[in-house]
Amino acid sequence: MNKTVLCFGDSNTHGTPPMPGPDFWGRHGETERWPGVVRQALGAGWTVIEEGLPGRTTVHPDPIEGVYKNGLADLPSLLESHRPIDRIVLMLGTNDLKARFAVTPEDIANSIGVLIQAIQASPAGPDSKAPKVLVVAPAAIDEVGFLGGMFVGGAAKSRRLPALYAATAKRWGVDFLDGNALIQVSPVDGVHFDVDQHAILGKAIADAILRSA
Amino acid sequence: MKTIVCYGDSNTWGAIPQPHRGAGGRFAPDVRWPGVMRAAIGAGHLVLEEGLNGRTTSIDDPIDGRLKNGATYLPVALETHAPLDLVIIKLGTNDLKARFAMPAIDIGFAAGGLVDLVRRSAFGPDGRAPDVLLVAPAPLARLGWLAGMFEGGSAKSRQLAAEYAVTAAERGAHFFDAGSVIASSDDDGIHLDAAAHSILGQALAEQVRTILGNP
Repeated sequence: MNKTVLCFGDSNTHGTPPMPGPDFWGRHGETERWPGVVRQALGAGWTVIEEGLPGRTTVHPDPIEGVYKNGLADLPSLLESHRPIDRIVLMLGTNDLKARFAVTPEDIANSIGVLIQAIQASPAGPDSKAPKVLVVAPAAIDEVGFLGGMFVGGAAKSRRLPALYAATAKRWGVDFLDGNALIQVSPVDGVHFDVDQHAILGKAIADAILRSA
Repeated sequence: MKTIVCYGDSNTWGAIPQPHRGAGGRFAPDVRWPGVMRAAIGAGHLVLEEGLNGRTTSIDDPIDGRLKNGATYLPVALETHAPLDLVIIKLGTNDLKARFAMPAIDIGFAAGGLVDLVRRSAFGPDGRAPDVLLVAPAPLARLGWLAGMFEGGSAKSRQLAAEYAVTAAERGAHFFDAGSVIASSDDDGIHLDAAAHSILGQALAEQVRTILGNP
């Protein structure tokens, strides 16, 4: 039986291209977005499942984009739907930077910790053990383009996330990768990545998965 | 590339029939019906599996959890996997549990509500709505240890196909009656054995080809 990797994330796991404006329906191709790059890099023997929801937060129902954007609320369904799951790649936190959520970088890192604990408490891994987690710190954002106003104050907060995520990962004994050290957001909307950045991130995540036996 | 989401319950997840309480397990990816369908329709199609044990059409389950409500989770599945060409909805079996007290007509309307969620969404190609194939689950078989939980469910289960056919027609959705090609297993009365998964996967591949045409 193949080993299963679940990619649990937001629009940057979904593969949303940099957005020139609202009502944009694009998506990077199946082999372009980072889970597809991971699938290619891991090759035979692995199944890579994509669960990237645009707008997904760590633990907050979104009053504008919908209550279903709450990652913590979705997590039990995902764990049970795709079990047995060997690895979960967790890359969230960018949407928590929206001004309307008014959370500190420490809060966001602690929310990642809540998600890790929910995974570690679940029997969704092989032999009813918990799946193994790789936390990825998202790339820092810029307040530009039509999303800039929504993310006011978010750019400075986002630059503090990698160090805080590293500490959270250490606290709960899971693997960590600093996406911000590897890739950059697009100047078009300050939040999403171009295809070349997905390629770099996907290769690094695949390496991290293989390193962690 | 055409993208298809299989939105269902334990019979989409691939639960192995459970002759006694505590038995279980999951059929391998190529045995369960979405995998059979994936192999049968071949290249040019992406078949995504979203099956959750205990999922209902639209009811919060007081015992197994609110996460079992299929209407609550459907927007997540749609937006996550967008753009979608086709959504296959195969739910209703868990609505037959006695604790939900749902007549067959209500289950039909609840399934229709899911169809509406898809048809009114923008998660198809270019911001349009995806197509829907509504599949009526096979009627219950010999229930064994699950008889109490599904008391009264057998008779209702035989009315679902007719209700779903009406609900699909009213909404311009495609319809397929799983009970026309397979039966539930007598091991527990609610799950499908490997042979039934194989037949259903082939039959649904044929339906998908008709709906989407050749890629």
